[in-house]
Amino acid sequence: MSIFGVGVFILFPHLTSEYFVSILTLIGIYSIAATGLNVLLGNTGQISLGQAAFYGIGAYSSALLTTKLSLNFWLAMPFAGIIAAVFGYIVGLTSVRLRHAYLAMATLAFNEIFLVIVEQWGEFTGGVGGLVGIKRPNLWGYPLHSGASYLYLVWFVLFLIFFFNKNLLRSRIGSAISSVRQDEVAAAALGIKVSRYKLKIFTLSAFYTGVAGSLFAHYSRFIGPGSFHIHFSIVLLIMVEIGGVRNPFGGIVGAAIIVLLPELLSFCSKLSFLPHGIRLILNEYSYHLIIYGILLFVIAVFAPGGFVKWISNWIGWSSRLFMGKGNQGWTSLGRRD
Amino acid sequence: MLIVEGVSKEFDGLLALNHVTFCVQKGQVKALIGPNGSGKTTLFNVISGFFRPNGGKIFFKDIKISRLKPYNICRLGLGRTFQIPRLFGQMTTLENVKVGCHSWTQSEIFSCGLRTPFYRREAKEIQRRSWEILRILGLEEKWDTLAENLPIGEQKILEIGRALAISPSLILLDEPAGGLNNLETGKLAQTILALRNDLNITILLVEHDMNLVMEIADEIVVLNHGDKIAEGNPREIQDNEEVIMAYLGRGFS
Repeated sequence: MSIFGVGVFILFPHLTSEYFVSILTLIGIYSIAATGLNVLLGNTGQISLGQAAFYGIGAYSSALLTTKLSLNFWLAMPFAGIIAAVFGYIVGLTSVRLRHAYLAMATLAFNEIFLVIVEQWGEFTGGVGGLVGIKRPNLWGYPLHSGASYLYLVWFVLFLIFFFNKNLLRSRIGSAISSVRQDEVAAAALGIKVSRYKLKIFTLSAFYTGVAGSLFAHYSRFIGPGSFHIHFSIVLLIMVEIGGVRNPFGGIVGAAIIVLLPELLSFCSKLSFLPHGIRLILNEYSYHLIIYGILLFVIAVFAPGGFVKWISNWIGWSSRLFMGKGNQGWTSLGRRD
Repeated sequence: MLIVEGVSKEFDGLLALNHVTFCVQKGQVKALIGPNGSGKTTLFNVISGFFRPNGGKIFFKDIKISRLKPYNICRLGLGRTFQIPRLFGQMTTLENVKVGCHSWTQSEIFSCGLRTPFYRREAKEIQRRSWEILRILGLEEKWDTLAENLPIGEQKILEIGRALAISPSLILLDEPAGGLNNLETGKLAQTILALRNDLNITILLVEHDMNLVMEIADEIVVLNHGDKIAEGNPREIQDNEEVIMAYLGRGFS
């Protein structure tokens, strides 16, 4: 079964259009960034609206390291993650003492500061005009120029991060984080240093997001401040909420929905039987936030816990109905053994 | 093992503890009793590091702990339970005990994420010890029940199990028999004595069930309005006039 899956994955990009491959690549990159936010939001309950800045730090670090210092991409990508993690640690130091709306505001301010620096520090970051000439990586002398080859790279990194994250959340650190979220006082009485764990997860979240930023920079080969606006932080938050907070697949499913939604809306805007006003809204990208808002509202009311949980519950319900079996369900630390 | 030396705690001018002094010897079961509001739980919170004392010193295994944070005190081998169980309700019984093993394990983020041999060895040890604790406490049948779905008696026992998982040499039990029926209280008394006799753990408990206290305690400290009014063995406490007037009444004399 798994060999069949690998076979489909290898052949799939060759069988479909370059456009569809690019959609899948973006889903992969956003999935990594959304997983970064999900590990933070889902496990410590901290809301960060500065994820776009970590994404941007990863993108600019990788781009500058490869273009100005001629560093190899395979070193620049993890290094970009580490640089983002260092900033995550610094922001985290001040932010772990803040909660809820205050933390959201502090991280939002960080995102704005990052944007101002990028725009003003023209000779280093390219300013408003952005950075060009970012190259695709080579693998053993073979350039990953084609969309399909880059797609494999992105999904391979996503695969690594997914399993690293899954292992982490099922370990002693995962249970410590989960205990901090449920009861900080009881966790402290068991020898768990609450602020230290919050800081670690904040740093890890920034690392994942920085790696996603690096992959984005080398994929698009051009980066400018517009890609790292607060709008992207909010879209990441929507991805996680829609996909499923705390669910290991939540970020991936949420990213897929948010990337595919404009395609679906654009398809629907061509349906002639719809009223002109609705087609106009469906066709205009700037109106899509309205659709996201409605989707978020629908998910919150009808599928609290996200799309993955809803599907999981639905499968459990239908298997009980048709086969008399219950699904195993999920515990706070992943699928129950 | 534990020395409380002239400890005072004040909340907005209200003196909750007034120069309280006593010590707990290794291997003892010591009880802290007194009417509601006498400062028993406050003293527990001061000893375990959740409140800083306004005066006095606390030593645990000859280390001054009165300025340490709760997680550091725990790591020295001092476990505690709470008056109202503070279990991790969304975790199973086994997962709750596993969290307790955190203080003596060391695998860090990369070791856990990459499942290194060191991490695997530690995870195996956590698993082994957690099952052993569940067996000692008779909770192995309920290993996959969510903690919030356990009856109150088993929640209290599980909280003791979670404190046991830190490998403590002293456990502070805050009203372990609160909300339990006679049968459950009897079982609890056996469990507490087994901890002392079989695992060599020293116990300091706060309790209102005087039958339980008189049955298991080697020594008793009585608090009233933040002052220590008596200390001695159960017989001496039952005969102490001041204790009878302040708390026990004539029924116990």
